[in-house]
Amino acid sequence: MTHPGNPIARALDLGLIAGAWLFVPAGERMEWWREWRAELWQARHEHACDGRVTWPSERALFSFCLGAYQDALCLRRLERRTRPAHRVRFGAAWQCVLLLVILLGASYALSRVLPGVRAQQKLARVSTRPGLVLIQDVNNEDSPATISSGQYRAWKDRKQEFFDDFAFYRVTRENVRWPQHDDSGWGVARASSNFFSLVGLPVQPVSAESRIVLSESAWRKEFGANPDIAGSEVLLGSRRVTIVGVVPDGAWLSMWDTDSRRSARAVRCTCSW
Amino acid sequence: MAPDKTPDTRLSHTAAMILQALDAGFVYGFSIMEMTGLPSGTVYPAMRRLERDDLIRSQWEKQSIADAEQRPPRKYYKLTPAGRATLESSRKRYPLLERLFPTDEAYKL
Repeated sequence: MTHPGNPIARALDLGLIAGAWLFVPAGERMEWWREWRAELWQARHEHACDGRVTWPSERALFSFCLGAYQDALCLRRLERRTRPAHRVRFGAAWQCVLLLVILLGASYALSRVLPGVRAQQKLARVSTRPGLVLIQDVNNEDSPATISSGQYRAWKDRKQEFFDDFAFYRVTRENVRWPQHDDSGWGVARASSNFFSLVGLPVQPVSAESRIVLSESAWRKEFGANPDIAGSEVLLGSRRVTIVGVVPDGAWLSMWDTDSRRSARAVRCTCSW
Repeated sequence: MAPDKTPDTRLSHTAAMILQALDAGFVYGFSIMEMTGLPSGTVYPAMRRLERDDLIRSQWEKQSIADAEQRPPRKYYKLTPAGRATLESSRKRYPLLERLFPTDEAYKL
């Protein structure tokens, strides 16, 4: 196939038509491009002057190529008018609103089932301090550290502090016994004494004595939601501890599945720092 | 009396010229442009609408024919029965239409 006319002028014309091609509906672009290339070839063949660029012929070809834009826009308009599938799929405005309401309802129902979301909802009901930083023991292999020990030391030694307090916690697995029950393994978070005040929970460790705070699920599961549980003693490993209260699941941390939270003195917290 | 279903009453003079050109044997876009003197921005959109209204039908030329003539294959258009009926009605509306393109000047395919 021969290409009549000057190659640079031909490339410019093709570029013009390629610009119009962008306006053509996607499904018709291939055929449209093929037709316009053939028509341009024909137009160039009719206006060719032995390979020379002449102003009148190039002007005529330029006008011809500009027509491609009108053609492309016409196809676009026609395509918009004949789009029944699109209308059926998205429907009227009230159908969209109904669909949105159904989706929102389904999302809410799903959120009621997912345990992580439920824990977050319970957490939202507890007032926690903004900008709270909880630092977990890095030696705990079961769970990742929130920051490294190096970062912690850097924060601790810095004179200009961006925080006003630290609290430690460490999640371990320990055997727990209480009267008339067999041993059972609990996930226990050992925390520093300022922990509850830092996260905003109304639990006050009043003495050096070991005390334990139950999560709501552990309280219901292990103690049958006994309302008189406060003051009872359980054996945590070899230590006797007193139950001082119950907090909602995920009230201070939603990421760890712990059965109890033990309040202890900072010096007795088994942290590696 | 049953209403006339042919769209001739709404057919513009431009569309009628294109139908007449097709009937005279000018069967691809550029040849219609040349014969009618209409610009490309008028001819091609008008042909899209005529094709949408089933008054004309398009068909690609065989590659072998185009190769033999050393040019890209053309997209040919031809009148449908509805298009031919519409053209007949348009000729009554535009009496000079038939004189525009004598059939013997048409390109032979």
